[in-house]
Amino acid sequence: MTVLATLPDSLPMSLPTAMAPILVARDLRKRFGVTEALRGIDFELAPGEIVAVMGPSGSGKSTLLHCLAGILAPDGGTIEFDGRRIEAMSEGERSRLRRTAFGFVFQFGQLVPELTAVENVALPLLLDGIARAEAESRATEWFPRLGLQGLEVRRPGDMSGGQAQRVAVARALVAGPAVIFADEPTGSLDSLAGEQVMELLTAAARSTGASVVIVTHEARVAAYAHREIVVRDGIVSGSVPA
Amino acid sequence: MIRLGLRLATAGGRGALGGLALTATAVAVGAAILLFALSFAPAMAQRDGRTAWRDGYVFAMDPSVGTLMLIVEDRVEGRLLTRVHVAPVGSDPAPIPPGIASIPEPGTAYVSPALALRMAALPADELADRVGRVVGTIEAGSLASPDDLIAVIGADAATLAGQGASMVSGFNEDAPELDLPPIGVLIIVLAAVGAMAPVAVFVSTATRMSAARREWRLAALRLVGATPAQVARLAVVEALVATSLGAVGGILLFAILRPLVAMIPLDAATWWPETIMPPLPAAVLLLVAVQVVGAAGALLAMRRLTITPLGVQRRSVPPPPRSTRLIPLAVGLAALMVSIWLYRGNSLPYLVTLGAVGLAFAAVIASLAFAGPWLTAIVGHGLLRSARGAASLLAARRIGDDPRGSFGAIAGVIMAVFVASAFFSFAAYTSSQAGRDTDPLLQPNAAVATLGQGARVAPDLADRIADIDGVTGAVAIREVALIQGDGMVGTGWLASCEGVVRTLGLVGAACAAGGLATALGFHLDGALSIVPDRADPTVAHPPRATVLVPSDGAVPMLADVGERAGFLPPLLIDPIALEDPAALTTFPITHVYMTTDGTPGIGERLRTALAAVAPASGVRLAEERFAANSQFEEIGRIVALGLVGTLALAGCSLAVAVTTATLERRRQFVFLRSAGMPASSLRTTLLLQAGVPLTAVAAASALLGALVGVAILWLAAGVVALPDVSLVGVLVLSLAVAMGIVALTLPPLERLTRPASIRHE
Repeated sequence: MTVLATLPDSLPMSLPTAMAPILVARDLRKRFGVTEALRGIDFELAPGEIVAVMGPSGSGKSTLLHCLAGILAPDGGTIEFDGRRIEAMSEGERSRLRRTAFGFVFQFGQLVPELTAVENVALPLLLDGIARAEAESRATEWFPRLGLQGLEVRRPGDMSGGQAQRVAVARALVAGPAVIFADEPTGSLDSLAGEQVMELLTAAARSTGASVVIVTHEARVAAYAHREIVVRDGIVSGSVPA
Repeated sequence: MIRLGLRLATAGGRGALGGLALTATAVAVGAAILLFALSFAPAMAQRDGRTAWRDGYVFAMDPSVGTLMLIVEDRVEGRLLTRVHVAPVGSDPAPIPPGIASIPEPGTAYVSPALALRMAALPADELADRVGRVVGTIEAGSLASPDDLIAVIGADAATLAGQGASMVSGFNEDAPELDLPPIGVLIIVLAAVGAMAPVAVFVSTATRMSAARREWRLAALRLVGATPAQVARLAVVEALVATSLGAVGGILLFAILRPLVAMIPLDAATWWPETIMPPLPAAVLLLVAVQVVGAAGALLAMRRLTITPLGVQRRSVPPPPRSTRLIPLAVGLAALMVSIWLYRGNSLPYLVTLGAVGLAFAAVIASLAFAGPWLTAIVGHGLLRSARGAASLLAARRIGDDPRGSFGAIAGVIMAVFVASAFFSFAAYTSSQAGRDTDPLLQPNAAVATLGQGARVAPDLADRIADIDGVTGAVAIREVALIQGDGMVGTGWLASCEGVVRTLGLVGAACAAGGLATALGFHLDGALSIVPDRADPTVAHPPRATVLVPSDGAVPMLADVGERAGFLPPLLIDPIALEDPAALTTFPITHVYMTTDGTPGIGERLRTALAAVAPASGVRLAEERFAANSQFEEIGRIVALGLVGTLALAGCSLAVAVTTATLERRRQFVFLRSAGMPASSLRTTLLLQAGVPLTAVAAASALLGALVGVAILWLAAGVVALPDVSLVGVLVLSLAVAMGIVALTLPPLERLTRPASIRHE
């Protein structure tokens, strides 16, 4: 597709080996009432690595992503990012970490309907205290790279699902995160739009060197990852290169 | 369809039930407030009716038969104490004041329960001795309020006759018609109309609380084939479930709060709870109106859905409000001014013009609500241009995207501010009319006793008062008219000059040797004689005395009297200036100025002592200030009470609207906070979203309100009464309170939008 031409295509498709992991979780446990969502999961993510977390509904894969991203506090275990223990951080510190070091792509409904596309993309920068003019300028740079030229002042309600999801990808990338967390990023899209989003997401991540954790139950989405792990009943039941 | 509507309203899980409960609760609060508002006039009428017997009575045709009655407005601890002195005259059974079994014997009294409590709490020489031995309690039906301080005191007819008492042959049972000045009636009508607007906004806001959830649900029904009419019916049924529950809740809330509301004093008196009851037809009409408002609101909200089933899901920006929205406001203002001009002109029937004024004022408030979104949109654009950070950008876009909704949240406060600002001019006017009646001659720890007309007291009254423990000085004043030739040339005080100087604390003032003195300058031309200033009509031959006038006619000045000179009589006549000093005692004492050592209770002891010798006397203490025109003070108090309630309700309305708006956007905020948006940014966004339009539009509303108030007074009363600077203070305080209420809603909203909630989204 034309969009890909704007991204560097000479980047390695394979995971660089022998690099220390950027995100490490050990013996992660999380309980919701009587339900044990995570029952002792170990997880590692290398710099630039793309990992797909698969599993049936209710297996705990989204809970794992939320814990790794510092959205949920685990009941047990440790999560270390870049030498810092996430589970020991305050909510304020975790918010700052999510804002500056992580990017997020959710299934749908994540864009603010009142804001234009460029304002939505600039939001993480604005939240980080960057002046509006500069934030919007940096956000605008992502529009041609993701095939969104001309949509800068559109509202989310005036865009297709695929376009909105690409805006969400741009927003996840704009602050230069080390890790992008994507929870069913193609869940609300048709297969063609879904593939476009995945190609853009992974290509953009490679271009910036960001790692990606994708929660999905679709094998064709997992195929974009270097490695996939399968979560079942709160534990990792398998881990294979994609 | 009705059954499905009921099911949708009640069987939607905890969230739906919570929304229903919140809406019903808010409607209940609004309905209860309106019920209390409707109860105000009947409660006032009941109060007036219960006290009609002492406000109006039937004078006896035959002055030798009936009940001799003297009503004295006394004070105890700063509160009004009504003393009703009665004595039967003639052989026929004398009419008995309502609420007591018989006319009490001299020295005994019936008292109200509240007075009995005060009598038990205070030393006898401060209160109980003023009343006498208690033989019974006055029934509640004859008391203005539970804390009414009143005593019906038995007296000797001969004593009362010398105090200006009236002979009555019966007692009124119906209250005399309230004779308010036209401007007073106008102010009360405008206050009533103004107070209703924020209530209407509150009820409307409450019925919209779960509208978003309802819209989504009904949109889903449209997608599966429900017709617009079916969806509208479902929406109405759902809305009516909430408003019906709210109406029932409002009645319950009214019943529960009534004893508490009855404790709110007006005119220094609380209420009998059972008198706070709205007229039944009006109450029924109100509760029906609440249903109509709820149903109409639901139908209006359905407009988007009836156009397209995707009306809710595909968010589109409606066209911004245009400046043409100002036209109704201009028309409304013109109509208001014309109607007030007609009201003042008396060219049309009174009730017609009064109704027209009320309607025009309501139209102005309604058109203010119509124009509000236009101004809000302008504020939103301004904020967007200046937005630098995420919070201000989010707030600005939200305001600009939905100026109608943004204004709807603050509409209650805006209307309350408009009404309050208009009433600040009225308040300035009523306050100036009410005035403050005090005796400027009173120094700290001083008091003045005013004896009733025709009161016959012993000539040595001042000496007797001076003997009371705690009294440091007393001087008897006899007000006299100055007669030269055949005409009256002024008034004077016949009193000990040295006593006046000492008791009034006129430092440095010296009395002239001749016994005449003046503070302002006075020249006598020829012989001077004096008569009592207020002649007792029962005395056939009032006393007259000749004053020794200096040969040159010049009266010596009292030195160093300062600013109090203007309050002293033109001529001070010491008894030594009388041709016959013994004539002094033939003149009635009209006032006694006293100084005390300030010991606690001395004022009440003075009152008690004076009541014994001159029942009609009233004592004013330097520390007490009373309104000179209580009618205007009353109006001012009613209006203030209404405004406080209105502002409080408007604040609640704002809190409900902010909560509702945030809950509708909860999902977005959860995602944003998951992506790292700090809670402080959420707080700032919500505060800016409410605070910026609130401040800007409220300032415009206050300015307009103040101008309207000034114009109304100018047209209606021909006076220009500008609101003073305290308007700004009250405005700032109101906005601060409103923002404080919004801030109170933030912690729960922060919890509801915490990142961990994302697993539910």
